Amino acid sequence: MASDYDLIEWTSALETGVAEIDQQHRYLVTAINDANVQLAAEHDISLIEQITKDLLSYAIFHFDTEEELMQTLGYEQAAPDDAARHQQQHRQFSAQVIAVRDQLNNGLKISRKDLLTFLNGWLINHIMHTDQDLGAFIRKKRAE
Amino acid sequence: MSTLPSDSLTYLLAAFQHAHIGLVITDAKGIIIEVSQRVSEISGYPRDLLIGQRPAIFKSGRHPETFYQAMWQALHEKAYWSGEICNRRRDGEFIYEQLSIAALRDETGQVVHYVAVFSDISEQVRAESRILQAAYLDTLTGLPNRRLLGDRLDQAIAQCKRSGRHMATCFIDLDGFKKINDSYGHEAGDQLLIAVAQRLQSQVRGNDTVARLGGDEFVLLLNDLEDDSECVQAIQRILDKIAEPYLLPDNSHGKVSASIGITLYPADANDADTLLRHADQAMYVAKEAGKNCFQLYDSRLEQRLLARKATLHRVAQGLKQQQFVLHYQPKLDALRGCITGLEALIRWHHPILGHLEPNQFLPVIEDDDLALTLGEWTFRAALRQNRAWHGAGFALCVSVNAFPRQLQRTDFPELIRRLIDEEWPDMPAGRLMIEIVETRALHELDSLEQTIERCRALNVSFSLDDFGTGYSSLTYLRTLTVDEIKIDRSFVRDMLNDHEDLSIVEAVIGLGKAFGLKVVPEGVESATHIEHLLALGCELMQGYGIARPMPAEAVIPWLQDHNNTNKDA
Repeated sequence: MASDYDLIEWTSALETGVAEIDQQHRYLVTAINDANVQLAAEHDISLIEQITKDLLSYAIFHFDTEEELMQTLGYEQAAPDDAARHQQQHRQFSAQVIAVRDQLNNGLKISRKDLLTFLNGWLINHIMHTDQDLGAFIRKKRAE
Repeated sequence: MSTLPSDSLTYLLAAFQHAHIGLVITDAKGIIIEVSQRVSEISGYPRDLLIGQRPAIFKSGRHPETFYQAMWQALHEKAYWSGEICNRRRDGEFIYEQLSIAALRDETGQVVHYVAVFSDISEQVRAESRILQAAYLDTLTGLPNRRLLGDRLDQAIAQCKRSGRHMATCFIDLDGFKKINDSYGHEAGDQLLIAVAQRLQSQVRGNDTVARLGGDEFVLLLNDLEDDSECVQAIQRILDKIAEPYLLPDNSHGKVSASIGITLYPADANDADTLLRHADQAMYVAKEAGKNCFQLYDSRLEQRLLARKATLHRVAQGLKQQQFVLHYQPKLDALRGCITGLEALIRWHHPILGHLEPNQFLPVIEDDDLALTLGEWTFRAALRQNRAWHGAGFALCVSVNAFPRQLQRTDFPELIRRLIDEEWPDMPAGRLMIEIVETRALHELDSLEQTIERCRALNVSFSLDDFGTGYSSLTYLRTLTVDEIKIDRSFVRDMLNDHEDLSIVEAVIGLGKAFGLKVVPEGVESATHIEHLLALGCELMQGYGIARPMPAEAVIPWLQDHNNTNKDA
């Protein structure tokens, strides 16, 4: 199936070195790639609904995992700016997914391009940068 | 005892007549020369007919030739054989015997007689086979049960490995069975399950397996498939067959359909348990995708479901740890300046993620039974809170959003009755309103209307939420007896600068008047909105321009403040 976007390939650049986080990130990468392929094949409202539902579900269980690690290991005290930025990106992710659902509920057409641009962009930015900082912090803490 | 004088046979016979045991004596060639009375009783052949015959007369045809070869070999080598054998009576019925045969030799070692003694163990064997059947077959439908299915799956996997052909494990769960079971009784439910079992069997080939796991769950093993597409065709046929109407006890026609999850071997090269689990997971997704369809398993499905389960678990835990609270948003009567009611809106005070809005977590749980638990909690909390306000002298109507999953249940009115009994037994009329959102899940409007009627008898009123956004708002309006319609915020928000949205708002207000219903625009953001809506003849409204949703403890101070402001104005 031809797609406008290259599928995201899992590379070491995406790894944080924290097992539980990496496992969950792999899931997100798969989910976004799936969305990419499926949405190229058909533009079905229930499909977008299902994708956004999965993303919301992901937001709850994955962000919970990360932010709990931040709390227990004292990330906020150690790097207050990074922690704030990190949490803000999490909230922004949920807000964007909800905005998509709201648009759907109001009968507006969702552009696949918009949805995927956002998801790909968020994923690359967040996992390759923000989560790398957190990963380094957690690895250091766990080594202590 | 390898040799015996021939006159001893007479004593032997006399002894066995008394012992009530079958005794057959043959000569060296295996021709019957004497039998005890018991032999005739067991076999149905009179003594005269047996003398001169060979014991082969008793053969049932149930044992392969190798069985008899082994018997003879033992008699030659050890002069003795003992074991269980299935023989046939004169009337054709099978008998099971515990049989011992000895070869009797003379002084020179020549065989002179064969002596066989046996007892009838048919009863015992049949009882055992009944037990075996009960252990392997489902008693209702006679289909293989979970245990036998396990064996069959193991065999099918082995078969695939040998033949290089494909096999499909299909997990079937009926849609709508519970409803029929609930409304027509277990007897009718059982009859339907038997009919489903028969339909399934009629659609498969002899070497396929149809099994019932229990309840309304069945498993199909489709063996010896050329390729995977062959399976898809078969499953489509089965879906159609299952969806045909069933005759119910009252001669009406009941409908159920099937959600089917499929995993294909060797693409999913796993053991029997794993194949079943994967097919089950795929079935779950088929259910979620709207039922009466099938879903093929792939490994990403499992990840998705794990993620979903992890989230549901967190919600369940949050409920236990009282992390959910209700906030309340006032509904204003702008003409009289008074607050007529409040809408209860759920919030999740997540210990890590902070305050989560309903649209962040409700979509994740609405298809799960957790929605029933959370829904019940919401109604209870709202009733308890409103009773407290009533005690403080405030007569308010609280609106609660019901989950579609709750409204689909025929016992929803009983739930509401129980909650009122428990939380506010003497609740006056006009204190509880239930908001319904149009959704594909609520397509059986007639039964929903029945639910509504039964709730109305409990002094509960109804509201159609998000009116105008769905595809069948008018059908809802026509079929359901409601008291109020709420105009969706998306129309209200833009009505001041979007002419089309304004037209819709006007139209819905007109519709409300025509049907004699209250109309409540949501998303009223400014004083301009309020003035404009009043001018359109709309009195009730809700939105940030009036008040944001607030915690329960802030409601009374807000009401007092609001009333004072109004008096001043």
